[in-house]
This record gives sequence, structure tokens and C-alpha cells, in this order.
Amino acid sequence: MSDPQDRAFDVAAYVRSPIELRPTDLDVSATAGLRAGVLAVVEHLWTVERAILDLLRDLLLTPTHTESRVTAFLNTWAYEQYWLTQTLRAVLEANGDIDPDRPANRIGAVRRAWDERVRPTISAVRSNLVGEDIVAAQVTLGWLDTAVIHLGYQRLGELEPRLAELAAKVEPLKARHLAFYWTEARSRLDASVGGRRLARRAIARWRWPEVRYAGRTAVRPVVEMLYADRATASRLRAIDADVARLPGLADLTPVRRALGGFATS
Amino acid sequence: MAFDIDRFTRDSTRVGWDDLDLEAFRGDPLPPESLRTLRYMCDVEYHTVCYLRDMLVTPSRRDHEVDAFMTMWNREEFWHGEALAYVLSLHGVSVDYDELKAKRVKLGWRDKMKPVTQSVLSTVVGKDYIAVHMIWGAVNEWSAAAAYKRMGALEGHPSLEVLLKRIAAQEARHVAFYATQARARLEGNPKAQRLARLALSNAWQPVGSGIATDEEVTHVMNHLFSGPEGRKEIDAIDAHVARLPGMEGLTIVGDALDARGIAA
Repeated sequence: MSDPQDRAFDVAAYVRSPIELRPTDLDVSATAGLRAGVLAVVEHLWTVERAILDLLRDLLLTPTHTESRVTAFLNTWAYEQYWLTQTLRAVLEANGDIDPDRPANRIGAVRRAWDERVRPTISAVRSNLVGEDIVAAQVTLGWLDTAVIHLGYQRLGELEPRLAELAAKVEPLKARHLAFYWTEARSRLDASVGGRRLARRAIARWRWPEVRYAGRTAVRPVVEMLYADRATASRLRAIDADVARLPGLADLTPVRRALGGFATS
Repeated sequence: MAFDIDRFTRDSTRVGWDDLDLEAFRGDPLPPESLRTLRYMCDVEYHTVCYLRDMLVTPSRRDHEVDAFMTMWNREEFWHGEALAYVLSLHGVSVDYDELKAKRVKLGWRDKMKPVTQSVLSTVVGKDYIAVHMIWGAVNEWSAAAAYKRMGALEGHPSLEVLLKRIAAQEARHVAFYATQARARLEGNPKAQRLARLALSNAWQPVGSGIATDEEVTHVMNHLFSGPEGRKEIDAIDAHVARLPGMEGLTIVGDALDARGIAA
């Protein structure tokens, strides 16, 4: 079956045409006075998106750093993410709501310290022993994280007309990230048993963005606002269905599992 | 000199060459020794992402300014690599993703363990490590800017000279960032000064030493910096370094050239 998602991704073309969503590209002042729930969503997205260099670090410490095709993508990806983060920050500032310190509870702070100081060392050693298969798992995780956040922007635009323009401008940006991750995941999973095994393990343990640091309680209101209504349920199921189409991941439903975690804890 | 990070990020752009007549190389190619140097420069630029990796595990990056800078710096350097790869391609030298990958893989365990060493070292040293990272970056960017300037002057090819000037101008902005950071972190901090001095005088090697063979490094240094004109540039870098707090009397770049037997 031919799948539009499976078209080859042209990295050379991508790096030549970054989508820069700068604060000046948006009438930021028109977003002033957002209600508290919406603002919390924007803050959540900002927190998730601005972990640009954390993600880069985690990827580059593994054999992924030798994959020049992936690093060329990440180079432009980081640039796009930088401007997106600045724009989200400008929206928060227009609403007088900016807390430069990450909202982390005590466990979250410990985890972040661990992730910044200790984990990189362990991961550098371990993943380099594992070898190239790790790349397959990382691009699959990249796809899933991006897919969930991408839907978050779409929902945000639907919920708050004043953020519809922002959401619309984020759309093509995220669509290209998804296309890259998808093509890479598909071909790498296809090519390697070890890659499929690592990806399976990673996807089965997948957590909702930011839950590791902020905890479920802090993220729950955002999840309820963005993802809890009936119409969104089918879009979430579609993400799981896409995951299941990837080689070796047929019976996994990471999104459903993660949402279940919010309901029971 | 203060460094305005908002202005830097706002104005950061990829280096362009579409308006330059580089096609002329097809009929009037660069000599082999220049291509060899250009290839070295191209590899170093593309390798920036690995330098970035080594830095991301240190405490340098928990600072908004440093984070913003590194994102833009990484992209600008990548495009220097693309620009040089284009010039090389006009000479039938191809630098593609597969080839870059093969090179990175070949670096082996020593390269893979670099971030680990950096991480451990920076944890032991603590915050003063950032000063070392910054002064190290400054020396490397000064060297890069000087190398492009020399290459442009040596070749005397008008379009290439414009391209290399554009690249050097971006490197000069990187210098401004690193030097401003280094100065601020070294000033009034004797421990950081001692550490930086120790690191520079014992461990600094010309940019690219970690990824190219000794033979290549010596070729490039000879090609670009031998003779009085070349040495003038090197001395200027050493003078810049010596003006930073606690660095009086250091001549690390000149020393590195002497050690390789590059004639002044």
C-alpha cells in the first residue's frame, strides 16, 4: 500500500528552507489576556519545546552523532525549534506570565539533575556498546513525541481563536519533522532486528512529554484541556495506529497507555 | 566589548554563495594543496555538531545566552561546511552524508568517550570549567577567522575571497561571544585563570587536530601560516589571548606552530 508518509524525505531541501516562526511573525500583542487554562497549555508547550539542547545532547551522545543525515536534520530542526520557543515565550510575556525556571517538583528537579549530570555518561557508554540500532529507537521516539505535541497545537488553535494563527504556522513546521522521523523510523526498523527490539522497549515505556520532570499531577490539566474531548479521542487513536504500522511495533498503543496513567494516578 | 545575544540570534543567517561566480573553478581550478586545505576546513566545520555534543554535557549550557548562541553557532558552522563542500564539488571532490558518517565512525572509541571525559572533568572542576570552555572557543574561532582570511589572500580568487570573507565575518562574531564570556568569567577569578592557563598551555592543539591526521594538520598550518605574513596572523591571535585576564605571556598558537616546525 502506498502511503504519503513514506515518501523519501529530502534532507538537503529541508535544511535549505527552514521555517522560522519568529515572534515578529505573529501579532503577539493580540494574544494578551488569555484565560488561565489556555495559558497553562502555552506554558506546557514552551517547556516541552525549549528542551531543544537536552534532546540534542541525548541524541548526540549515542551513535546517532555519526549519522550525518540525522545531524544535518537536527541542525535545522534546532534552529526552527529555537524560534518557535521564542515565539511561545513572547506569547507568555504578552500575558505577563513568564517563569524562566522550569516548573519542576522536587522529584522532577532530582530527575533533571540526574538527566543532565549522570545519565549522559551512562548513556554514552551503553548506547555506544549497543551501536547503530539505537538510532532506530530514537527516531521512533522523536516521531511519537512530535505527533502528540503536533496534535496539541492543533487543539490549541481550535480552543482559542487568538492562537489559531500560531497553530496554523506551526503546522507545516511539525509536519516536516514528522515526515523526517517517519521515513527514518520506517527504514531503520525495517532494516534491523536489534533496532526493532530497542524501539519496542522504548515505545512501550514512553511517557507523555514533560511528565518525567513535572509529574502527572502538573501535566494532567493540560492533557485534560487539549486531549480529553470525544472528537480528539479518534485523533489520538490515529497516532497509536500509526505507531502500530511501523515494523515490529504492531501491538503497541503508547498513547492510550500513557493517557490511562493520567486516569489512574 | 559587550555581546548582544538577541541581536546575534536575530541576525544569524546561513552563509550564502548563490550570487558568487564560483563556477569559474570548473575552468580554472584551485591547486591540489589548496583543495587539501579546503577539505580540512570543510571537515572541521561539519564536525561542529560533535564539538557541540562534547559541550552539551558540561555545565556551560544551563544558561539562556549560551544555549541560544550554541544553537545558532552550530547552524552557521554547518553552512560553512556546506559552502566549502560546494566549492570542493566544483573540483570533483564529493563530501556527502555517507562519507561524513564514515569519517565519524572511523574516529572510534576515543571520540565516543570524549563527552564522558568532558562530563567527568567538568563535574570535578565545577563552574570554572565554563571559563575554560569559553577561552578555548575564543582561541579556536580566532584561528578559524585567521585561516579563512589567509586562504582568501593566498588564492587571490575574487569570488572565493568574498565567500571566505563572509565566513570569516561570522567567525568574528563567534569570537566576540566567546571572548566576552571568557573575559567575564576569568575576571577576578584566579582559580578559573589558573585552570584556563593550565588547559591552554598543556592541551591546546590547532583546530582539527582531533579529527585529522598529524600530517594533514601540519600541511594546513604550513600552507596557511608559514612565512612572515602567516606568522603575523598567529602572533595577533596570541596577543588577543594574552590580553585576557590571567593569560599574560601565553603564546600557545605560535608554540603549536613551532612544535610542528612551521617556519616563521
